[in-house]
Amino acid sequence: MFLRRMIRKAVRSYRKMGIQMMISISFTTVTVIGMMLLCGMLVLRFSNAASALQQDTGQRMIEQVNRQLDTYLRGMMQLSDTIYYRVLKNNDLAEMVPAESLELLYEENRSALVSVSVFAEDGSLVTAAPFFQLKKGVSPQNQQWFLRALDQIENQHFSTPYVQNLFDNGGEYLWVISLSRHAELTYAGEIRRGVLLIDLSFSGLEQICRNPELPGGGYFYLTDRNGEIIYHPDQQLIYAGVANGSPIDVASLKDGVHQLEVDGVPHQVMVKTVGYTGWKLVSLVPSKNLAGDVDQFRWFGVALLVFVIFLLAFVNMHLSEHISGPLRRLNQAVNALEAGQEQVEFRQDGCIEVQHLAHSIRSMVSTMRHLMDDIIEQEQNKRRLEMEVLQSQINPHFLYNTLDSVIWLTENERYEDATRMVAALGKLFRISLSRGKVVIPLKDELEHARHYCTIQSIRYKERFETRISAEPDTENLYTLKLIIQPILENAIYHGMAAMDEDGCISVHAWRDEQNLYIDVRDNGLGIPKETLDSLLDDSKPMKKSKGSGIGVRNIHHRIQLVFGPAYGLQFFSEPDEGTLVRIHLPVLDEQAAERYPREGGQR
Amino acid sequence: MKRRHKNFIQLAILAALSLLVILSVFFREISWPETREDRVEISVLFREWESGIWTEVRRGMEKAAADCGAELRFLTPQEANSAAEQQLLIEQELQNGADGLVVVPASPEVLENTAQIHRGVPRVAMESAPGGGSFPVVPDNPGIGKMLAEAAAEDFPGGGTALLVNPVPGSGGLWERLDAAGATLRERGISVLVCEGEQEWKERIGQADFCLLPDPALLQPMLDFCEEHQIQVPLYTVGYSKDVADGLENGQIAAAVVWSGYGEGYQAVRQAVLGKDAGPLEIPVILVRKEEMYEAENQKILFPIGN
Repeated sequence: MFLRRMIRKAVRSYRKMGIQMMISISFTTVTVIGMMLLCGMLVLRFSNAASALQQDTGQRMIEQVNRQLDTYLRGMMQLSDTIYYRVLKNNDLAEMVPAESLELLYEENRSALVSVSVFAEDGSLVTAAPFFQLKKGVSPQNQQWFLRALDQIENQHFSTPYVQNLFDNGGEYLWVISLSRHAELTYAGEIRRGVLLIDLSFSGLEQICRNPELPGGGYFYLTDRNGEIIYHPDQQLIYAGVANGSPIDVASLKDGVHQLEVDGVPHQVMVKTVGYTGWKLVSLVPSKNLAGDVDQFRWFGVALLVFVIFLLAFVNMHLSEHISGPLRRLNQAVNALEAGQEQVEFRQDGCIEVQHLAHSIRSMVSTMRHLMDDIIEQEQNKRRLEMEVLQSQINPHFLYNTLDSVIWLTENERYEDATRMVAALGKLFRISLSRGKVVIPLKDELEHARHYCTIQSIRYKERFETRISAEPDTENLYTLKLIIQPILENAIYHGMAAMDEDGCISVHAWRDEQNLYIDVRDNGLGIPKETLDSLLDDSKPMKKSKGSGIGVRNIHHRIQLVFGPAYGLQFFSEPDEGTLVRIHLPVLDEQAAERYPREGGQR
Repeated sequence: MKRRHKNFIQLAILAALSLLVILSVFFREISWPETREDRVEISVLFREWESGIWTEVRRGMEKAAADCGAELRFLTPQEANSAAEQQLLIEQELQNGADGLVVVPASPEVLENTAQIHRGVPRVAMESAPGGGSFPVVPDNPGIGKMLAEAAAEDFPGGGTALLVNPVPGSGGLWERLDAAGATLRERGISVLVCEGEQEWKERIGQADFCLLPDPALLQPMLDFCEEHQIQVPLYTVGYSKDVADGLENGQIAAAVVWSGYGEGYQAVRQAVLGKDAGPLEIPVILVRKEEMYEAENQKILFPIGN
């Protein structure tokens, strides 16, 4: 469960990684796993090879020592045969004791021998070399080697080490290994039983076993077939009771290699039987020492592995940085572009694919910018055209109606009114033109409204009066042109038409911080609720009305097109009470007004 | 700048790791340099050397030194059994930086005095166990005395006079042997004469039926004296010297309690190298008479084997 959670977490982290980290970790992980497997296999292989080599060396050494022992002991047996068959058998001891021959053979082998002696069945000395008589009180017939020789007459018998107690060795107490055999001794033609004894110097045997040094701090020792120590490097300590004897039951082990625990420590034990004697040559090597050099190799392997891992991580970091750097920079540039930054640099570096990608993105962005500029320009053109269309919707209707009224006045010989109307019309159009400006001074717009009201008042036979005023702080402000007149037109057509000379329309401009408000109020019939709701709703069809035919919706759209959706018209109306149309505009001074384009798109 | 700093750290780690790889090639040489400084220096101070009884002890010590990686310095006072000189030698060795001491004390005070000054250096006492924080590697001294006395009592069931000679009056271990022997002999109805000086034992030996020596150093002078003055006194002694074997062989020694000097020396040095209490050390002792000296188990202790 925990593992699964960890894996999921790792996968999530992996997915969130940058390309550099992803490349770096992936490469490093794969190579580290590969290196670990490789190192593991190498160490294992080397360990096995080293252990096998050590074992092989140990085996060869034990075989070599065994051969030397066998050669040594067989040499002694051959000497015994020579003495017995060439010296003793060929002589009648009653006639001559072959002391000289025995002496010669002893001298020939004196480095390995302590003594050679022949005993009669009663233990009396027949002959010996290099000694001539036994110590006082010695009873050879009671000694083990003597008894065994007479007991098993067909064999030669090797004893375990002991201190010779036969001859006076000049105050020396010599450790020997006895080789004894039953001997048929001829006395005056009569065959009598006797014993041939060759005492081998223990030091000869000790030298064979002690000299070779086993690898890994191992050692050899030699036991008889019952496990009694014949040679051991710590033999004197064993005899002193300080060290233990054979640490394993050698008698139960067959020849070969064994893995055994000795005093709780694993050891490699090799056993080899020494030819005729049945002695067991044993080598003991602590198993951990067999792999002594492997430890060094393991340390080397671990150090090398750590070094290679870090080196790989280092190289991979830089390599992945080299690969992913251009991609990352490209990504940062795209992010900056998304954030709206205009000056974004797309560097074309890295590998050829990334360079191509950067080039493509740069081309694409460039194309996109051009397209956007085109779209903006088209949009501006479209707005301008809309404006012009909206404005152009005013003029023809109004002109037609006014001229119609002038005709009517003239026909009715009301020349003064006609003159006033035509004069007002002229001023009206002069302001309308405003030298092509879209945004004009508020006072001009109010003047325009006044002239319009003058014209309409004449047309409607003075059935309403007009009051136009402005707060002092609005004097120098600017407004979109021709926005009051259509509202006045609606107020007149819908509000004043039914009035009997008591109609009143007021236009009042006032300022609230950065907002300019122009209230157009009438005391007409008011606007029904459903009509009021649909006045500015583009989803509902525009009602046809009298007058110029310009809907308030057009005014509203014009304001919003120029100043944004925060501005426009607001309607407040109560049936039979009148209507208030509030024009909401931003406060524009002359400098701000200059920024707005003239008609035809000129600035 | 930060990036360059980071790269520098990475390169430094790489350099350190590459050094580690190189060092690992010489791992064994670095880990276990066999320098003289690593070897433990043990000073061995006998109380005397002339009697030659310490030869086997020294062989055992040298074997232990080879096994434990120690270096031994053997020292003996110019005047045999001189406690004062031995004390000076000990001080001198400790000042020279000995890592451990093995001492056959000429007097119990020798190690006790040292113990108060040099507490950190392991001290092993042979033959006598003076205490004072030293590790004793000694045979069972009272047991030895008792074994000798019982052997003598067996040979003299009707009683008699025993001469107990201590050739090293300052040695506590020898006194332990003699005290135990004297007590046992008295229990068995045997009169006991105890003497120390050479003149004293020479004067009294003619009065004794047998003589008991707790140390073989006096063996040869006594045998020579008896032969010279045609005095027939059975001897009961201890030790692991050739003189003891010879004495048993020719019947001059009636019985001897023997143990392995080789094993004793080995354990003493091993204990000194170990430097802490390894628990009770057993030194097997056996009583040997002439007729038993070639028995398989007896000869293993009585006669040293090998080189």
